[in-house]
Amino acid sequence: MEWLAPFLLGLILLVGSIFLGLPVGFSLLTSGLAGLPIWAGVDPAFGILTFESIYRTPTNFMLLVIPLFILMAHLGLEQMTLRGYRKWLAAGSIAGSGVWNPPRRETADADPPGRVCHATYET
Amino acid sequence: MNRFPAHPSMADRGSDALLWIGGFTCLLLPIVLLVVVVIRAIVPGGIPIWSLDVCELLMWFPTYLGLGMVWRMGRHVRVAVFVDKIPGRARLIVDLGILAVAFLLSAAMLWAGIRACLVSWVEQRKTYSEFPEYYLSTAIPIGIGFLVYEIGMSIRTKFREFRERRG
Repeated sequence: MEWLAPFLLGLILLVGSIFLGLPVGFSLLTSGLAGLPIWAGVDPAFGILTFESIYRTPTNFMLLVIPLFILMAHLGLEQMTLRGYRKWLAAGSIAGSGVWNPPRRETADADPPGRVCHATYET
Repeated sequence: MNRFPAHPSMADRGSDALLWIGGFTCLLLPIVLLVVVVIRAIVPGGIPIWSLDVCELLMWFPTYLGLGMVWRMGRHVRVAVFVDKIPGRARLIVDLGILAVAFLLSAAMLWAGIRACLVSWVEQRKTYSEFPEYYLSTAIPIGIGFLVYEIGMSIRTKFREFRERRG
């Protein structure tokens, strides 16, 4: 049960700091910085922060798809994809049961597709 | 926390320029990837393997270089549903607390970024295909450094607002 204390501490810090309005990235860092030293010790925790999180993670091969998705959105291909999904879901039972029923986007001023989670951005 | 100065300083313009570099890299990467994949499919061995390493390492640019400017634009994702309900001066105090925590965390990130970059330069780190990665790792402390600067400026702006309300 030695995992329970860092887990609970990290969870409380994560949820608490997100609800207090700290940006989500910083909230994740807070919980990681609080939990890792308890779990692994101070030096390994900072080693993970330095080389794994900051140096190696952004260069992960799997993350190379992110620029491809951004380009896809710039080219307007996401509209085509969403129309395709809507057709598939309308044929099945998910949309009909109301579990997932996204707003239609025939008009230009409809909701943008990215606003799914309704997290508030500061503007 | 948004801050668009009427008379931008050199550092303000630096944040803006870094965002442009990061954004340009982000749009350039798919094209580079497409070219690499197509050439490797048509002519196996027609393009050196380090081209993929460059694509991976260039991800440091869009990840870190825009951090400062994105902070200034207020586009770091956050949940403000509960904080928005706090009235008046208490809201300012909560905002200042959030900014202080963000500043400390970004300072820790800056320290870690500088350390990672220095180690990379000292060890002359290279990828498996012998591409020198230490040149590109310089983007890490530069980007996080501008984030620290922007958060510092946000704290200054908030403090001024706090003092004006007090006075």
